[in-house]
This record gives sequence, structure tokens and C-alpha cells, in this order.
Amino acid sequence: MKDTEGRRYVVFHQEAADKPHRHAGSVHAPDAAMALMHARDVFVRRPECVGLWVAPADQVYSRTLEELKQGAGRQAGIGEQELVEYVVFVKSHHKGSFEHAGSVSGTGPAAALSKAVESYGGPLALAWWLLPVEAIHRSKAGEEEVWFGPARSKDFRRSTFFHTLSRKLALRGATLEEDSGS
Amino acid sequence: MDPELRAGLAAYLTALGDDELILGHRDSEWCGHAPILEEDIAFANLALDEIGHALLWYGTLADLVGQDPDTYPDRLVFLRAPAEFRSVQLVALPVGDWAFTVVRRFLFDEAEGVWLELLSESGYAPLAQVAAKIKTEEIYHRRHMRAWVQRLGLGTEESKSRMQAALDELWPYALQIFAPLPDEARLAAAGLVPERTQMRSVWEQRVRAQLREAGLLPASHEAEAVGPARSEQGQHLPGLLAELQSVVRQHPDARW
Repeated sequence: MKDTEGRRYVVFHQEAADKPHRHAGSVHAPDAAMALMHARDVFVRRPECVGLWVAPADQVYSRTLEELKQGAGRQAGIGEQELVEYVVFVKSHHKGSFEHAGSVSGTGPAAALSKAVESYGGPLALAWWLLPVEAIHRSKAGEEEVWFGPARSKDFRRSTFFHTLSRKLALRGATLEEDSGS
Repeated sequence: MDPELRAGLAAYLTALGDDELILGHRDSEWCGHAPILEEDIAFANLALDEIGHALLWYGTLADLVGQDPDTYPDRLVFLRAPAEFRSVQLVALPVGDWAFTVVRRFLFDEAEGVWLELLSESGYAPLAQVAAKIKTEEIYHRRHMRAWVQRLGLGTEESKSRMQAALDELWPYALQIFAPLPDEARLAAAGLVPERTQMRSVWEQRVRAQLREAGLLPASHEAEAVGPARSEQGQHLPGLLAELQSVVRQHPDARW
């Protein structure tokens, strides 16, 4: 059987203009443009989205705090290399996701990571992802309405739309009121 | 509104809603079966969007004919006989393979794009408002389908030949979209709906350009052929409706 799965792309999702892009999951696609569409269809089910990025998963340079302590990724890049700009994502909670922190330049991901740790490390940083800026395919600014507008009018995508849940919440609310009244 | 115009407009809104309902229902058959997981989610959503659009058209129709917009759409969907539907045969055809599904959806969405642009300038304000609302969502639908047409048209020998076969089969059916309804000339003269001939040429130009880019050729055809009237339902609608309406017909008083 032929492999129809395609390349894996990591997806970053921005909930509001003042929030960072956050890792949402991944999609498989034959190319970046299709990956962006799949990202929209899979991860923008609910209305809170203003921007999406996708990047091939095999382009992610990933290091955890433990790996760094053991010395992995600390070595400087080999000389004569071109300076590349990397976008930095940091994970700061065990249950949290990777969040966009900023960008750094380096002659390779390892060199760039050293700078990233200095600039964006902080006391809570647990793991880092670096992606060459060129590897990221982004939803276009100014097209938010086409990409994300329709989801906003779909109340049925909110869990509260469904009777069972709202009834359960109503019942729970009533119980709480009784409790506090007694 | 003049009663004859009203009746004509009601028939027009019925046709708009019926196309969306039947295509949405047919495409929903892919739920759980699409070629890859991501597309399964995407395509089920696209199908659901169409059913949502049908609901908007039926709601507009309910207001026009003085019916309750909350209950009338259900009656239209679940209680009409096949002969009362005014959808084109294109949308009721069985799903076929993925190429067939993609081509059908592509041809339909491109036509819908053309008429929504024109309908959003309709002299009947409620119709213009619904068209304007749906228009934004359809921009994404067209991108999605164009992306598939390109990738399958330019993909492998097999994907290309399946796409071409689907196109050859579906092209004559797509032309039925441009067969005018009985009272349409009067509606167009009153500025309520666009001229269909105008729509057809814009559609054909866009569709041919997209197909060319994907290495596919639309079948040659007689310039004036537009397929049968919408009152002529093909053989596939009754089966689709029998399934769609089965629960309501078995349990007419059920509430959920």
C-alpha cells in the first residue's frame, strides 16, 4: 500500500492578537499550504483563533532542560556556517505547551539555542524548540475573516450549546445554591 | 410583494436550500471514510457547513411565506416527497471515489461562489443578507477544493486519470445548475435574482482556468446545453431522502 500520510507538520495556534502562538498538535500533509488548511480544519474548531503557523516536524530542533544539563546542544556551531534566524518556543510547565518566545540568530541550532537560553530561558523553562524562520508557513495577516471568521458564528461548536451539558451545569448550580443557602 | 413574484422567489429559495442540503448530506457520507484523518475532519465540516447554509435559505423562505422559521425548515427537510425537491441531479449522485467527490464539490462550490456574489446584491434584502453571510465561508471552501483539484490533477497517473474520468462524467450534470427555474425571468427583471446566463459564463471561465492549471480538461459540450429542469429529479434522490427521512417517518412525534 502506498504511503498517503504525507509529512508531519507541527501546528501553532494563536488565540488572540496579544497572546503568543502556542503548540496545538500536528497534522500530516503533502505540503505546507495543505498543512495550513488541515491545521485550520482540525484545530480551529472553536472560535478563539487569530493566527496559525505550521512547520515540518523534522525541522524542529528540540532540547529539554535535562539534556542541556547533560551538555547536549551546548557545543558551539562549527565555523564557516551561515547565520540563520530561528524562532524560539519555550515550554514552561509540565502540563503546558510550547509557546512562542521570540527569535535568535546562530550559525546552527545549537549555537542559536545557547542564545535562546540566555534571552528567553527564565527560571521556569523546561524545554526548547527552535525552528528556522524559513520553515514556518503562516496564515496571512488580513485574511483572518476568511480563515477564522466562520468559526465564530458556530455556536454548536461550543460545549455549552448542548442541552445535556448546560442542564448538568444548571443542576450543579442549583445544588451549590442550596448548599450555600442551608 | 406581488403574489406571483413571491411564489417565484419561494421556489428560488427552495432550490438554493435543496442544493445545499442534498450536497451536504451526500458529502457527510465521507465522515469516517475520507482518505486521511485530517481531510475526514475537514470534509465533514464542509458538509456540515452546507447543511447550515440550507437552514439559512429555508429560514429565509419561511419568513417569505409567513411560516415559523424554527419549525418550517424541519418540515421541508423531513416531510417533503422527492418530487417536491428542486435540487440539481449533480448533488444527489452517489459519492463515488474521492476524485469524483472532489470534482463534484469543486464544480458546485465555484458555481455557488458566482451566484453568492450576485445574490448579495439582490433587491430582496433578506436574501442579500444571507448571501453575504455565506460568501465569506465559501471563500475557504473554494480554496480547499481548488487545493485538492490541483494536487490530484498534478499528482500521480492514477489520481489524474481518476480526476479526468470524474470530470467527464460530472460536467454535463454541473450544467444543470444553470437551467433557469420557471419564474426566474420575472424575478431577474424585478432585480431580485441575477441572470443565470451571466453566471454560467463567469463560472465556466473560472472553472476552466483552474482545471487547466491542474492539467485537466473539461469535456467539450454544446454551448447551449444546460441539462434538464430542476423538477426532473434523477434516480438517486429518492434513496437519499429515504435514509435522511427514515427516523422522522418511523417516529413522527419524537422530540429531541
